[in-house]
Formats: sequence, C-alpha cells, structure tokens
Amino acid sequence: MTGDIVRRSVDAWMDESEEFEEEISDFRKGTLRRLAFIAACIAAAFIAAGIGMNIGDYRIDFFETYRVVWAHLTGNVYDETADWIMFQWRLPRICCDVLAGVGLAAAGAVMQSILRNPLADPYTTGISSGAAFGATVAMALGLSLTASGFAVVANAFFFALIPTAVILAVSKLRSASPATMIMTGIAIMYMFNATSTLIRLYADPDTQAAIFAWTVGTTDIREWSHVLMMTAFVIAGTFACQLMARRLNVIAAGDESARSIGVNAERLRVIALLVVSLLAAGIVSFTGLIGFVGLVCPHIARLIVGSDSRYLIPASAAFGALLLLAADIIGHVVVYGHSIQVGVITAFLGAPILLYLIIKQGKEVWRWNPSSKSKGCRAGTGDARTCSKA
Amino acid sequence: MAVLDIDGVSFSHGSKKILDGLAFKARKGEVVGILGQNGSGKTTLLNCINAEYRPQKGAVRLLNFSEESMDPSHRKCGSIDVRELSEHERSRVMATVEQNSHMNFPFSVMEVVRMGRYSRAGMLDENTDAEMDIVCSAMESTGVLGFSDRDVSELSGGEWRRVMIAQALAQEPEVLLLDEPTLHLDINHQFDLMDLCRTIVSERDILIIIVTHDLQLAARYCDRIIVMQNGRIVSMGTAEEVITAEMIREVFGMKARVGYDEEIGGMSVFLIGRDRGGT
Repeated sequence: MTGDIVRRSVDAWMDESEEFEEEISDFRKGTLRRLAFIAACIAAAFIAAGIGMNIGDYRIDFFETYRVVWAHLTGNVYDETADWIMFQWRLPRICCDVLAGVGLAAAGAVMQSILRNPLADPYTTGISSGAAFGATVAMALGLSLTASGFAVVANAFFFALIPTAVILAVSKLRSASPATMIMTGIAIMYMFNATSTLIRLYADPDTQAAIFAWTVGTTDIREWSHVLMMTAFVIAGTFACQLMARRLNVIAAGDESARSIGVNAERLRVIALLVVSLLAAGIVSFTGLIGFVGLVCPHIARLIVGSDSRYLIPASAAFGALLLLAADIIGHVVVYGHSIQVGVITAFLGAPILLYLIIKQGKEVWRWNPSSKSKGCRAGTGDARTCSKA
Repeated sequence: MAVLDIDGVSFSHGSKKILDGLAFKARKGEVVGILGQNGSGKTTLLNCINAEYRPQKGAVRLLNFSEESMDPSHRKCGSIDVRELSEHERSRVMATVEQNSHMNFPFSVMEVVRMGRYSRAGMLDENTDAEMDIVCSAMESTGVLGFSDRDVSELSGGEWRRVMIAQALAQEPEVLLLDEPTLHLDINHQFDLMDLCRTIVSERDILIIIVTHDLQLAARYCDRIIVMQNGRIVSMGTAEEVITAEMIREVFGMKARVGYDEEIGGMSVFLIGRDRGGT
C-alpha cells in the first residue's frame, strides 16, 4: 500500500521532470551564458592588467610582467630593477584599478537594486561628495602634510558615512521609500559640494592643487598599506553584497511584494545601504572621485546577464575591474609621457557609453512607474468616488 | 475547518475609520469574494489579513495551519495572530497578489516565479530538479510556461497578472489573497482568470480571497461573498443569498435584475442602470 503510494509519487515526479525538461534546460543554459560572461570579463581583466603593467618607460614585456610578479611572490627575484619598478610603481596602481572597479561597480549594482533606480550609485547617494568634503577639509587644515596622507583618507572615510547616516535618519522619519532615500542623497550631495567649493575658494594655491588632484580621482597610489586596506573593504563588502543578492532580487517588485514573498524589505534596505556605503567609502577615500563606474557597469552587465543580482553583482564587479584597467591604460598611452587620471577617462568613456545605451535600447531596461505606490492610488480612487457623487 | 479567523477587526487611518469591527471566518477549498465599491475598505481589509497593516482593534488569526510551515516556537499553538509571524513564516502560509505591482528591472518570467520559492528553498537546493518542477508546475497552472524566458517588462497586463499568480503559487500558500485580479483585463481574460482560481482551489485545496468590485464575476465564481460598505460588512453568504436586487441597489446604487441562469449554472446579474432613488 505505502509502496504503491511511493511508487506513484515517484512516477509523478519523474513524469514532471520530463514534462518540464525543455524549460528547465533552457533556463540552465541561460545560467551558463551568464557565467561565461563573468568568466570572459575576468579573463579580459587579466589581459588588461598585463598590458597595464607593461606600460611605462622601463620595458617589461607582457608575459614578463606576470613572471616578475610570480617571482616576487615565490621569493626568487631574478631582475631587481624590474621587480622594484613593478612593486613600487606599477602593481599598486593595477591592484587599485581592480579593487576600485570591483567595489564601485558592485556597490552601484546593489544601490540600483535597493533604491529601485537606475541612477543610484555612490555619486548620487552623496557618498562620494561626502568623501570629497572630508578630504577637502583635511587638506585645507594642512593634514595632508602628515606622513602618508593617512589623515586625508580617514577624514574622507568618516565624512563619506555622513550621507548614509542622514539617509537612514530621514528614512526612519518618513518610512524608508526608495524615492525618499535618493532625494535625500542628492540634497546632501549638493550641500557637501557647495561647502567643498567654499573651502577651496579660501585655500592657498598648493592646497588647491592637492584638493583638485584628489577630486579628479586617481588609482595611482604607491602605498601597499593603502592597497591592503582597500582589499579588505572590497572583499568583505562585495562578499556581503553577494550574500544579500537573492533578497535584493525580491525587492525589485516593491516592498509589499517583497514582504509577501518573505523578505523584510525595509530592514534589508538599511543593511544593504550600510554595507554599500562602507564599501564605497573604503574605496573613494583612497582614490578620490571616480565617477560612472558604479553607474555604467551594472547597466551594461544587466543587458547581458539580466537582472538577477546573484549574477549581476559579480558580472558588474568583473566588468568594473576591466573598465578601470582599460581606462588606466588609455590614460597612460593617449598623451605620450603624461598620464591622465583614471577618473577623467572613466567619465569620457562612461558618458558616451551610457548615452549610446539610452538611445539605442529598443526596450526599456528600466521602467519608472509613478503608480507603484498603491496608497496614492487608493486615495485617488477615493476622490473619484466623491467626484461621481457630486 | 476554518483557516482564517477575522475577529472584530477595526482599522483607522489617522482619524478616519476605514474598517469597523469586521468578523468572519473562511475555510480551505473555497473562493471568498470581498465585494464593495471603491473606498469601502476592501483592500485595507486585505492588508490587515496579510499583516501589512496593524488593526487597532481585533485580530486576524490563522487556524489549523500546516505545522511544518512554521518556526518551531509557533508550531503547537492551534491559532496564531498573523502579526506575530515573521515575514518568512507568513510567506509560507499566505501569498498576496497586489493590484498594481510591477517589476523595476528586466527579469525573465521564470526568474520572477522562482522568487516565490525564497522562503521555501535554501540558496543551494534552489537549482535542484524538484525545486524547478515546483516552479514549472506553478507556471503551467497559470499558463505562463509557454513564455517562461520572456522579459516581464514586455508582457501584457493579463500575462503579468498570471505571472504574479504563478509566483504566489510557487510559495505553496494555504491562503491566497488577490486584490482586484481582473482589473484592466479583457473580458475573456477576466473569465480565464476566474476559471483559473477555481482550478487552483480544487487542485490545491487552498483558500482564495478575492477583492473585487465586479458583481458578475463574484456572483459566478465565488463560493461565498462578503459585501462591504463604509468599512462594515453589510451582507455575507453564498452568491444566491447575497447577490440580490436590493443589495445591489443599496450598496452600488444600481438597478439590476438578478436570477438563477440555467446556462451559467449560477447566478446572473443584469445591470439595468443607475438607480436614482424612487424614479
């Protein structure tokens, strides 16, 4: 009797598996395609890193670059000069490119999900402006003269967290809707920018130059201690984002839907915002303002891997690393003997790419639907009723 | 066997009283229609049932729920207030399809339906054949399996509604709440959707509560109907008991002819026109 029931249910199960075989295998193929894109980005990033390490006055061949790095890591350096140049000058920069690309792009992808807005990135939520303000204050006070410029970084980091704190405070006052959060971020961004400008007006020329250089955004750092700290932020932050990925998907259909599926949307938004702020602040404080990476990379990745955050976050991250490495290479070769800061190149690359995507796209990758707030609708229908009565 | 006990629920928004002491019970295996005009408090009631709002008075309780859906601490109590459940627990018992939800990002149909498995399947067993089968059979029963790889932003309103219902089914709920499911649908799709509700109820033995203002569909498809006006229940019972010419005149202000129709095998409502008090 029991055996019969078991057999029947097994049969039913087998039956269904075959029934949906086509859909399931299609779906799994889709997953493979996404993984392939991520792998391709990582491979391309490795090549770009090789090219990046190869650029410079002292000639180290493309394949040679990785050999020098390997030799250093395994402890049998064979070319002292190449080793010194690599580890003193080139490799920190390359590492910084990768870290900043990964972190900023992942942060952008998560911010777009939690705020349900394609314009959300560390820039528009005020985190970058906060960091810039912090750095400006530190430099204006002459703190940059201390040993490694660490005070600037610490100050930038501290101020980068202020916009997040304000966003969270405001969202507690008026229940945490994505629109509220992004509006708050933009308001704070303007405030910080204005104050930074004010300070700059009264700073002496040397400080002004330093502030300017910082504001443009560069990955040209020499301190391995900075690279290590960035690594810690980026690995921890990106990993945390990836852990939240499944819940981030659910939030895309709105808070009420998310709750119905079993996700506490407001709490998730607060936690994700905190994680992403720490991640972005941890990068921006070292590099200065690198724009467009957090905006463009998730956008491009979404076109190829779709919106599932579990793939979108790693794909954006890998693409972000590639983009920054490419920007760095371009910055070093476009004007001979001079290097252009990576922040300038990302803006030059990013803006046209974004424009092209916006114009070219047949379907809207992103829809803005003002009727998403059903409460407003309900009030509206109430009005309609009173109107028809009158 | 009652699964849902709405026990004297009152809800006010600021000083405005929206629900006033509602009480009824609902069982598994039935389609309950909540009928009323705009502003009568239907959707608010739904939001009290799914714990989106907290009623100032009274409570919504779940009875006789399947114990494996609950966290251990809630297993043994025979009845539990929906507000005491975590989102995670609640979503395994109850699913809501909202009136106007939409996706902000281009997910595929399959991805959206799979989200319904969030509270049931862990991160790792989500890709097993058994899990995929549950997702696919939910899609099959609402007829969206044929376009499982389409982008949801390209779907029509009716298709999207069916995707959302498939997502809710993937949650394997015991209570399914639908807020105006037929709104903005073509007439043939409205009937398809209500047929679908009947099929789901008979196949899965769950409770479906439908909020609607469509008299004809409610009369035809609901086992029981609750009529609301100004936050109160004015009438409750089977379609035959509730859908009467007097009720329609009083609640909707419409003159109507109501009767049993052989061909439909149920109640038919024929709206004659606006009832202008006495004329």
